[in-house]
Amino acid sequence: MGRFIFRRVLGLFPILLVVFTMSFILMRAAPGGPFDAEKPVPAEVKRNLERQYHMREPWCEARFLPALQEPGLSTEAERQIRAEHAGASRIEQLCTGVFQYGWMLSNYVRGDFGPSYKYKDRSVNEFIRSGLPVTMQLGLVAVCFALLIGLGAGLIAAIKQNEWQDHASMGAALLGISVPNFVLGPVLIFIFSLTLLWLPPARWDGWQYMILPGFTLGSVYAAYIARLTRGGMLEVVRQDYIRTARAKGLSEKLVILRHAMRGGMLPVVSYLGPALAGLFTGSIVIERIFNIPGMGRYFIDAALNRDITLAMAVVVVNAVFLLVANLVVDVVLGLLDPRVRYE
Amino acid sequence: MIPQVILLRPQPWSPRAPQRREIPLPLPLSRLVLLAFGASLVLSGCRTESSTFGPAQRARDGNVFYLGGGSEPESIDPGKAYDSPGLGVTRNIFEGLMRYDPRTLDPLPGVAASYEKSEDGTHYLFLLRREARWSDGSPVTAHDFEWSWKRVLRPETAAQYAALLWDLKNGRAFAEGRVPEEAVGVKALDDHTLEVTLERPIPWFLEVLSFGPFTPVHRGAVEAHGTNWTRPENIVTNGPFHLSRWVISYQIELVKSETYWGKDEVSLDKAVFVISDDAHAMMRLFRAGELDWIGSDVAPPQEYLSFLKTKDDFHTSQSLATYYLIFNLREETPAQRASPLLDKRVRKALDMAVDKDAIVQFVTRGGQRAARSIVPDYFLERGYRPPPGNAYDPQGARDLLAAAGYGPGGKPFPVIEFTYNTNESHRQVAEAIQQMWRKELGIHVQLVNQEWKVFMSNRNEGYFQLSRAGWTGDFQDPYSFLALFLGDADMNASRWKNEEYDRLVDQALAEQDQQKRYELYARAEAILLDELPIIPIYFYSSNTLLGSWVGGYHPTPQNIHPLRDIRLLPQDRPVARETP
Repeated sequence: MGRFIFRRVLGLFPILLVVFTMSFILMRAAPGGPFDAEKPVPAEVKRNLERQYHMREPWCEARFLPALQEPGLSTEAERQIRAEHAGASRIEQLCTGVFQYGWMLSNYVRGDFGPSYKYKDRSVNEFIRSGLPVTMQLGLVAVCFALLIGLGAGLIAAIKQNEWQDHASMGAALLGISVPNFVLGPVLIFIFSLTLLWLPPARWDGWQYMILPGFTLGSVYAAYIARLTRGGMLEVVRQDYIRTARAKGLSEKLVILRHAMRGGMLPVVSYLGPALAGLFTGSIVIERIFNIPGMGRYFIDAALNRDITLAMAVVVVNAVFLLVANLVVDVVLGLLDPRVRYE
Repeated sequence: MIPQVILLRPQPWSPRAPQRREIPLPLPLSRLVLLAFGASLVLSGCRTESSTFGPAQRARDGNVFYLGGGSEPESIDPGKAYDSPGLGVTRNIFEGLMRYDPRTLDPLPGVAASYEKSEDGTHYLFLLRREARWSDGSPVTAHDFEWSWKRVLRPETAAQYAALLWDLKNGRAFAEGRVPEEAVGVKALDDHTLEVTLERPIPWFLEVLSFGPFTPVHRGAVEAHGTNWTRPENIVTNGPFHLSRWVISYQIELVKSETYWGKDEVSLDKAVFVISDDAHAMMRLFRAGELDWIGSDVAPPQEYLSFLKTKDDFHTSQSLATYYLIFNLREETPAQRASPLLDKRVRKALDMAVDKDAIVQFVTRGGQRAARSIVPDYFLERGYRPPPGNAYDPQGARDLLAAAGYGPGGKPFPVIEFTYNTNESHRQVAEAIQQMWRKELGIHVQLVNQEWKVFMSNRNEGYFQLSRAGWTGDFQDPYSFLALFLGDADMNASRWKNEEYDRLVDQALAEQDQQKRYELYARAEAILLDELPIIPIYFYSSNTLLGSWVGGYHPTPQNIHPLRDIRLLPQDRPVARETP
């Protein structure tokens, strides 16, 4: 088991490198740059910004397109030069890209996500440090809601198969799966915050603030978990070992809670890995609606702002999350299911 | 380290809005769902007519002003701040030689107690207040200004507003490394006297002295902490407020500065900027009584406007901003040279076929005014007389198009591509214009929306045929708009060039008398509106929600509202509080 975990952890690094490289290439390939704005900054200033943030590499310019290094070059003139020497310009861009990639990678190795391209006073680490705990808290609350509601509803549905309790909880689950959280969120705010005045409509200042966003985010997962639990349980109760347990004369309650639950939970557990990562990205919308200072919002904002470092950091952190969650799920599955063996 | 960031200081939340009011829909998408939920709630009789959208009385206690701060500021370093949320914080914690008059935004003496100006308007002498202090107690001196201004110009600072300081004598040359530091036209003669020399006369120079890059920064703090100097624990400020707390993407807190020379005139103890650019979230917070003002960077969404217009806490005012379309007049590629838009008559016909009154009345619906000129109507009250521009005249437009050889019996008009940045409101305006041109002129327009950075990059690089644009004036002079179309301006995306226009605008700049300057501007604008590299569509308005208990707030054209002058009015009666 120890060796299994060790091998899996080692295996994370190549995957992360691929994720890092792919997101770097995508961010570089996207049209428009972090310093394009309504009021174009003077060519000289923009060049300085680009040099500071490794979007422009004097060494590459000197080597492949020395004409660019003339002081006081206008944007127009630069475009002209690039158009005339299209081949050299492409090589220069490639060279700059390689430099930037190396710069970022060497930062990552040291545990530094680099400076933010948009937020000029801040490093990306600060954004992750402040946003990640909030997003994790939100995710945790959502998982609690999802498990509590999902397992409860699923168990009831399985025990009372084809009775009204079953139909009611599966109907609710269907609704939970179909209603997107950007609809559910505002509806809940409308009812509980603006009409009944029970809970705050937005922000993140204490436990009252976590209820609505946690429930909204967890609802879809609760619905899935309910369906999975029901399915798993129904399958398990027909197994021989359950019949054995009943034949031993165990009470129905014990049979369900001790024997059937363990097997019935397996599909839920394997679902939880991707679900955890999904909660993480699902918080993009929730954080916006409820004005929560998590890091989910940077998934979209940073990409739109072409804040390369921040966008990549969010992607990489999320990848770590997903991989670790899957690893944990594999370990837990082994503990629950005696048929799973670690090689 | 985590708790500081997550803000788990549990505060019992109590509902701040005991009154029940008519309830609007939180999100357009949720309308259908809400109809079902809403019907029962409405029927249960929980609505009484209220004259305000938010609470009628302030629901919060304490002399702390809660306002919407827009998105997370890019930077609050006054030398580098470039976005509106950053500048919004900066202008309250740093003070330049001048400061804004809260009513008109005209310059009032700030750190400078008085000034002298030379006849030709290129030479200024500022006398600084001796009582002006940094928050660490040290005096604000002329040397601070000299150092700060040169810092903005220095290439390694990479300040995006650096071009504003190019008007200093040798400012640009220094920024490009052509002259030494000593040649720049700003010099501290002694601790309290600052001499400023300009490259050319700038009529609005005093006004921009209130603006970000012209405010001083504390050399010691900047040199000691690098980019970290703007953190609450490091920052040294000289404005009416001081930064006390900054939680990323959540809130920024300013406290009244005890060292500010005019602290007796500051009424608030504290101001809290709630960071969010989600208009719906901000509206809900305002409605629940958690915000006193939704802030200048967040406006109520368009779909609420007709409902909000009936409320007392909704305010509309003119903005110093124009919405217009740009024609690409470059002639670099064969495709560009074949563009029908190069014909002035075609551009005029397109302008005349747009019913701008209909657009502001039925599409935007937020108090905008139809525009026939690029210089906003705000300058009318300052005495600017704009040229008449082109009136709405579909028949005249058809005649012009026929004269250009298009239409019935002539060449078929090629499909033109209209680019706008992805945004619901821009889409609606674009569709309205598309419809008008098809109906009146039979011209087919293809609408292309692009995500903001792509849109900006394409527009600046000239990859467009017809593009949407909006411009907000940086200062209160028509030059801020007319300069966009100078032949050598970076922002001149159409690449239109007219020597007479450039000459008139330049001549106006040297004119010290405002009326005469305005006349020259108007003559220049007449050329612009005859040549039409652009089509003006409407003048923006700014819409906001503001609690009735807020005093010292005045509608201003640039939507700048110094917190120095904001005060919370005493309430008539204590607010009834309900506990759940």
